[in-house]
Amino acid sequence: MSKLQNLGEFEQIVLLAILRLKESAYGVSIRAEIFECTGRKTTSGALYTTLERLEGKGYLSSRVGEPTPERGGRAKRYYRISASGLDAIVRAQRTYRCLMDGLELAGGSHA
Amino acid sequence: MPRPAIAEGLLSLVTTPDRAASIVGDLVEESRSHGLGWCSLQVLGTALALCSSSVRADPWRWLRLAVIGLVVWFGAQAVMVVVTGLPWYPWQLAFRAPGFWVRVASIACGANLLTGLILGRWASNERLNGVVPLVAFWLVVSFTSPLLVWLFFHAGSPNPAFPYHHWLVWALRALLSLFYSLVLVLGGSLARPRADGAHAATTR
Repeated sequence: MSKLQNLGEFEQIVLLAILRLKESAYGVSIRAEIFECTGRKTTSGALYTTLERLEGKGYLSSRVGEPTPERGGRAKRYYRISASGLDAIVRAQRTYRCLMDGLELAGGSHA
Repeated sequence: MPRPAIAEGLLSLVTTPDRAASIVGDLVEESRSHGLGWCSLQVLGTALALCSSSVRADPWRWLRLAVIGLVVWFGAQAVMVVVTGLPWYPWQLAFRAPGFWVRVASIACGANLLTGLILGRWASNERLNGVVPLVAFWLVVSFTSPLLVWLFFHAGSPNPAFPYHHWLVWALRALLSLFYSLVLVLGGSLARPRADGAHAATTR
């Protein structure tokens, strides 16, 4: 069993948000994207530990942008999904789809 | 955010300085739509989350760093005793030595600062500042050791001579550990290199 499949739910959400944001994925925009898509308010602690963990696993890479005055002279750290990260999210989503296949949830009480 | 430099210093203890700078930058950017309480909670929450994530990722590394920290701390104490010229034996002689309390305070401050500087510099390339495991060790041991000693040796047979019966001794011990921790953190922060490229003076 490959380690690539070991993605938690929040890790998948973060990776998908970064994928959606393309080149402009940094802390604030990732958090805003997650809120917009899921309605979930993410704490900084949860977000940055997940980003560090995903980077440690090699699923993300990061680069430092230019410092800006509105951030008190501090630079943004932009995140980008790596090939192994993309592979991991595709595998995780495929697993979900496989499990969902044949289940008729659309007309259920939670639809 | 009222004091980003303090937040950056705190986060630099548990992640690299450039990452700490970018996290604080994000919080500064978001602080316009949130209050002071929210920002403070986010900084503390992020520091604790990164700290616990680091422990869970490699608890043996934490233990190793704490042991190394203790060895350095004892070495720094010995150096400071020699530097201050405090006679350490017999104790009666030490108490009678001129400026005894000044020398003891110098040893306490100097040894912790020196330990912080050494550990901070030694682990300067790591995400975790080298002083953090030692600080965590001091805090845990100082707050729990009187309780453990009391539970194992004196529960059920109260001994009035036992020093930890008095809450004041316990409180002083806890305060002493907090003081040690603050000086260690100061030393560790001073030794840690500043964020390179992630934090620069900009003009409007």
